[in-house]
Amino acid sequence: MKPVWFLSLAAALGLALFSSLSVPVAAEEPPTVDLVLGGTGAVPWAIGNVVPGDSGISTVTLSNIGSQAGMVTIWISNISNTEGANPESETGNTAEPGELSAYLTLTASGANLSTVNFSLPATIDDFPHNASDTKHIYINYLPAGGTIDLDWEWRLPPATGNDVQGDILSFTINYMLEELPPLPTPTPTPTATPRPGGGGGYNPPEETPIQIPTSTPASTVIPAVTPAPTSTSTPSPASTSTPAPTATTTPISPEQLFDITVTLDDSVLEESSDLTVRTRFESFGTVPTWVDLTFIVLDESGQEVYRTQDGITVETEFNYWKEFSGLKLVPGYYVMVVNTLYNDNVSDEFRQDFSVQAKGSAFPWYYVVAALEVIGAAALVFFIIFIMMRRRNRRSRT
Amino acid sequence: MKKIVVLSLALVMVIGMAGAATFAYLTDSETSSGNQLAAGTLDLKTNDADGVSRTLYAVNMSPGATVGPSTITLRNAGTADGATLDIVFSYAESDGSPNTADKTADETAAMMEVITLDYGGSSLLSSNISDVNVNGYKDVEDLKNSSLTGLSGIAALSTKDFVISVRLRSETGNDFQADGITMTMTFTLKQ
Repeated sequence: MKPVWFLSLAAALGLALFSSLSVPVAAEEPPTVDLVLGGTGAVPWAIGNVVPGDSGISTVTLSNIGSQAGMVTIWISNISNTEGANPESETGNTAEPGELSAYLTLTASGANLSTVNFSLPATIDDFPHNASDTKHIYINYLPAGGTIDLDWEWRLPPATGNDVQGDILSFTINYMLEELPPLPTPTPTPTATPRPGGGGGYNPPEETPIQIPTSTPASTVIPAVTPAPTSTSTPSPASTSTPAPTATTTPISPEQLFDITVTLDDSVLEESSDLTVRTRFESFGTVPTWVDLTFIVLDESGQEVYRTQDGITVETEFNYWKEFSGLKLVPGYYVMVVNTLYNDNVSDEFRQDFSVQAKGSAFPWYYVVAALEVIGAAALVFFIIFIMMRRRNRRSRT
Repeated sequence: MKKIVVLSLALVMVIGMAGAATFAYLTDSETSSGNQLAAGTLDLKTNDADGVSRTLYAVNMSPGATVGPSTITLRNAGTADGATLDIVFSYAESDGSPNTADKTADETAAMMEVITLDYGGSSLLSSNISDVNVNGYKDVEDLKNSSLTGLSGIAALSTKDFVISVRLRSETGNDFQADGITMTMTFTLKQ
């Protein structure tokens, strides 16, 4: 066998082995994320003659035409301030650069939009200026094939005064769609809850269509979730208690149902303030639903040491990252308990263990394992090459 | 031995590339560039010159004499429409000599009746000026003490004329000989 064949075989084996140690990838189609901008906000804004008190809205449509869901990070760059005409009435700083970016505020609104370390509205100067800025504005979930309308509202506050007369501001808005990391499987198992209808995993209605006779008035309210006799993460669809369908039926869907999964970004922390909980909602409902989220930290003895509550509205899919930047925990083992409550009476409880290491004690085992995997793969391929070369040498000797 | 080294290097490269490809998340970036916002300007000029104040001299007048009508053209040379206009009157004593019985500026102003006070083709006398000093006519002292705010504005690149004339009342006595005032009118165009 020629060396080139050895090399090809070795490379193929190495790739196959390494790939088997990491994230499996669908064989038929390579995954893609592909962001496309549309709407009035996608064409350059050319807004003139802005005076204090003026405002306007420009809508940009973000479409993920790829095959993978992602999150969109947004930042503003290339900010250019030009001192324009200086009428006699202009006061303050009349030299370059202009001051418009210090006064003009922008706010964005749309589904799944969140900010970190700053709040909206904000002046252009206060927006994140690159993807790795300490401030963030992002759309935390844009599904494959999904579209989100983002409304940008600009406003020049009435109190701006004459300082900005004639000034010109230009800037670039950047959108980066990034593939969402896959959720670990299996997802955390909801613990038992005493309330009926815990909404952990509900099969989409198209698999088990709910049907009611046409004689039922359209306004009849069918409960979205039938109270189950015991706590479970899989509520039974209402169809189980409805009369048998007649020849003509009308399918209906529960209005407020979720699949909920809760994960920790890292379960071994050097600082408790690094704790981040990701709660993912997948809605099979038809209406925006308010969800109460309660985050509780229990220590080793089961004592509650921290509690906080949030509320969010979920329309379709939604990833909610909860950060605990102010959390101070002494080194030790803890349990993060996440309670979700929606539709007034549907609750779930999720528990995840985590630990806070004494400083310097957290060892990066992940990297050690990864390094061992790589070394093992290389050694295996190397061994195969060695055997093949030895055989060839023997053959050539004989 | 050389072959083994080459093969090993190739393997390391292949594994590195595979690892990078596997661990890197997919991204796609789009930009919306060239967004521009420009602030408008509001630039009031009087008689096509910079400055928002004009002066009217009422000196060396004899009883029954008139100053004016004096027309001041107000131009909004900016790009933004001015929604309202404010006018403020003030005056200072400007006496001649000899001035045996010196009257104050207010006393002199009270003897100067406003004959014309037009803005944009409409008279302001009846609707905006009141007889504050209650002497039976509308005079320059009344102008100072009246509020002339919130008048109609001037659109961008448009003009409006302001016209004023005053007359020294015919019953003015000899005590006012050589007394005079200098009137200043300040215009403020607001967005």
